Amino acid sequence: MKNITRFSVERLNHEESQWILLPDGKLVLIVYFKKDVAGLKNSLLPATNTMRKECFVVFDRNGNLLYQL
Amino acid sequence: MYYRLIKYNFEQRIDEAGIMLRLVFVLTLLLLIGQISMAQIKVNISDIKKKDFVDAESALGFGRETKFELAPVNNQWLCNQTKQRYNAAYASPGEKAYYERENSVQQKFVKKIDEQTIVDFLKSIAVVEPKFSSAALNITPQTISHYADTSKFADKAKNNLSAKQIQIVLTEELKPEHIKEAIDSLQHDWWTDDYPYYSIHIILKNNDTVKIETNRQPGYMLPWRINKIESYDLNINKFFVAVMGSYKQSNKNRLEGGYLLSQIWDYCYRTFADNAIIRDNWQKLDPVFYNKLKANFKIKDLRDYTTDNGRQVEGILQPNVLPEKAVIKVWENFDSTRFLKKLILFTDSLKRYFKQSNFVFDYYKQFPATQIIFGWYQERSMKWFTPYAKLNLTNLLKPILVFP
Repeated sequence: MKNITRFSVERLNHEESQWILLPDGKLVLIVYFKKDVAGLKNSLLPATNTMRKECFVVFDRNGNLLYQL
Repeated sequence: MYYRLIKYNFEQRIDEAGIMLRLVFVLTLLLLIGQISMAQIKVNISDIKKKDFVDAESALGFGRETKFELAPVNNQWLCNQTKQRYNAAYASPGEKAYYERENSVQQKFVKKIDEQTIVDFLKSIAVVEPKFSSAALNITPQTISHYADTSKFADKAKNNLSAKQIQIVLTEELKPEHIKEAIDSLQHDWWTDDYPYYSIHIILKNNDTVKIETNRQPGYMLPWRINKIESYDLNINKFFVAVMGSYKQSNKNRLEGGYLLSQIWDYCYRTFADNAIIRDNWQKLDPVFYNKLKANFKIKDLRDYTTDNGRQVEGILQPNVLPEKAVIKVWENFDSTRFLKKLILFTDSLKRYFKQSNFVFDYYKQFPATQIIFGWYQERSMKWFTPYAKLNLTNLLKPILVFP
């Protein structure tokens, strides 16, 4: 677990998303605030009514969907 | 025959559309020329019957309206006050007595105005300055430091600052580019309960009127509206100040820049000096640690706190070895040797993620105002992972990843 790194993306001082970086370069999206996260298609992300949307979506380094909880 | 008719109709339509387009183009051009010519106000001094001035201001419990006029009498331009009206609900008895004495609708002679002053003013309104230029205000670091040294504001500005910190603000943070940024930003400033108004109405002999007005709050009150066209011309301010008389609570100070200098000081202090003062604190607290940190990281913010658990350090650092967007947010118990070692190890662990890029880092390259923030707390605390703590993560992800 020590090799898992978390990071968040802030644009213009507003947090957009939170991610986990896995050791082999895969990325897990865990929180997002807007639909247009890192240029991903909207259909890939689960929709909720809240501003802060929690999810668990695994992508490879090229942005292909691998797994969605 | 039918084909010819269609062709004819089609060509005719095309011609009509062409004519319409030309017409629209000519009309737009005329409109533009009209706007430009409206903006260029050319007035000859011999055509002026008089000029009416208004200097007014209101706020909660206070109002003032001062009117004066400038008119030629026996080949001399004389300025006369025509109205003075103070309305102060909460004034002291002394002030009230002054206001009652000054309130008047009688014509009072103020001063003679040189003809050249008026000619210069007419020249300045003939050419519109459509854009604000902070350079035109001619505010340099020396202007601000002189103001901070000599004005009444000096005590307020230097409140709670040590001599060294004041020196930091003056030398490091009052740079020309910072002052430009402050001036540009303060032009968009506004506040409640303050309604200033200035106007010059030039009434010509044929009774045409050129209206020059402003009700902007910030220092210099720019832009002026010359017949509703905006002009950022400071010569209008100079002319107004040259003509107006001397009376209490006038807007003269605001026309000459007013509190802009103190606002620039405040802006530079809040925006730039804060970090410089933090740097100064660290130089005192632990200079060896700070200089080592500075050698490896760009320090965006670094503060220290004393809590029940001892000394804590919190800040944002940008490692020199990582791309500029990548920053590390630190929040740690402070132990200078351990702190540095751990931080450099953490930075090294991040390097590998940037060797092989991924779609998230690539996507945000196009947005300059983006930060990729690595939190440095995951080793100690997994609180952020609470929603997934119930799941057996390793088993769940086994098919798609291999842990080292």
